[in-house]
Amino acid sequence: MTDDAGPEPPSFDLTPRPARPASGTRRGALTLLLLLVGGMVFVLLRTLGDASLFFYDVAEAVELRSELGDGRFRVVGTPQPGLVVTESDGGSAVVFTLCAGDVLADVVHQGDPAELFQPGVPVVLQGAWTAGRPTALDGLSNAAGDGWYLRTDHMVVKHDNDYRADGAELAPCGAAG
Amino acid sequence: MAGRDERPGTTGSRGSRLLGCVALASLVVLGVLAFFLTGPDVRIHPTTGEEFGQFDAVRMLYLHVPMAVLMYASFMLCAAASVGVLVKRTPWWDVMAHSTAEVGTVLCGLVLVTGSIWGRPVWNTWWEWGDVRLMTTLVLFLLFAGYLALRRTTTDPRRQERQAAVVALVAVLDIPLVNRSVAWWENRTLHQRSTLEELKIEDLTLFTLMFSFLTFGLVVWWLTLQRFRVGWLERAAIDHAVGSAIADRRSETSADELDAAIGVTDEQVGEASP
Amino acid sequence: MTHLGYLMAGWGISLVVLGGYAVRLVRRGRSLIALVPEDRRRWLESPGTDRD
Repeated sequence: MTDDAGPEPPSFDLTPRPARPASGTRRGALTLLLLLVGGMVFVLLRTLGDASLFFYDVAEAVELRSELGDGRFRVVGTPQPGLVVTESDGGSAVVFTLCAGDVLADVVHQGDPAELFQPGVPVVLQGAWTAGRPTALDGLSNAAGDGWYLRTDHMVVKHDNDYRADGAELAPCGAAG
Repeated sequence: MAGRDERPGTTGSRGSRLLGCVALASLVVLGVLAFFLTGPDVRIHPTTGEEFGQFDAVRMLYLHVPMAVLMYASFMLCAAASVGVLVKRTPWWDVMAHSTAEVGTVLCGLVLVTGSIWGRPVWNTWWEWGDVRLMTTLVLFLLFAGYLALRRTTTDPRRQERQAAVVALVAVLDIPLVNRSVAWWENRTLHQRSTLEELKIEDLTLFTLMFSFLTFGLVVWWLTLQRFRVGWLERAAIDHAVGSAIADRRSETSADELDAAIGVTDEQVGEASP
Repeated sequence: MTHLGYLMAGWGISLVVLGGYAVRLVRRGRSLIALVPEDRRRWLESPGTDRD
């Protein structure tokens, strides 16, 4: 092989080139990947931060009443039969008693209750302890009447996994299933 | 997985077409069972005597629960195939891992959407930030969406396969958290405990739930089969395109031009000849 | 029937998404078939399974 013999060879580039996706596709995929990582960080912050869902049962909420003070918290319990619909702060409210085992707590829930809200079906309420005794409690047969009530404004239903028509296992103040 | 009697121009085989037809027929039967033959969830409270339950919203059970279980199955298959990618290093495992991950991600998205739609009438909320079952499922979706995005970012196919396999094996660790969250963190989720473990269902409701597993199982089997064939064809198409390009390049270039390109002179060619 | 809107939305979205995904797979398969010679369409017989 010589360097100086003959004319310059035509420029054939036979070097293998790596196959690569179109740069636009790659950029889009990288952007998507970054968005997904951002989404994961957001979810983790929401889950681990103050917004993390946690609820006390009624017995814990009563026991920790002084600790909880007037701070908002979530509580799960079973509404007892007997509800009173009344007015409170210019809006409608539902007054009822929440129970877990033999511990009771009175509730004044502002606004409309959940669509499937029923006595015997556990609910998770968000609100705070308030000192006093609403007059609507007089209409309840099993009110706690201990000078405190839960003033709540957010209600979700915690359904069980029982789909049998007889519902034989449902206790009046049973825990959520 | 593939039949040998494909019609020209389709990815179908006699077996997969039959599977698709049976899946479609099963969907029709499931629709009849779920909407017309089974009743609403109406129970009588043992002490108050009042009606309670989920009423007709319970018909989401036959959609949401089988899709959730098949989502787990798809992601577990993806993890198993990813082990195959790392150990065996053959395309079959990678195509299988990619296919099951994609089908699983579609199912996971639908599980989140149907769960949200079911939650609105039954729980009174579309979504609860911080609910451990919802959050772990969302993380699972994001992880596998990331897996699919990652596969499009890397240029080296072998590196892509291995990176994706590692991501899948990490992502699948979230599945026990999703599945057990309702038992481990009962006061951190609105979600009910496992329907399948406790099976507090009877008669036609139970039969319909089992039938929904069969139906969606057939649908997911068909989808995975088709996605596998598409994945396999994508590889074959690339291999064929590369082979054709090399052959074309060779045919475009004469022997003299090739010699000149690499600096071989006519004299050298003559000397080398016998 | 109660909650009909939710039921229609849940089942409708699921069936449309699954159906759309199925159609997309079939169409993608058909377009790929045209790029692959007949002898390499059957994945069991395709070369390259022992790449490494």
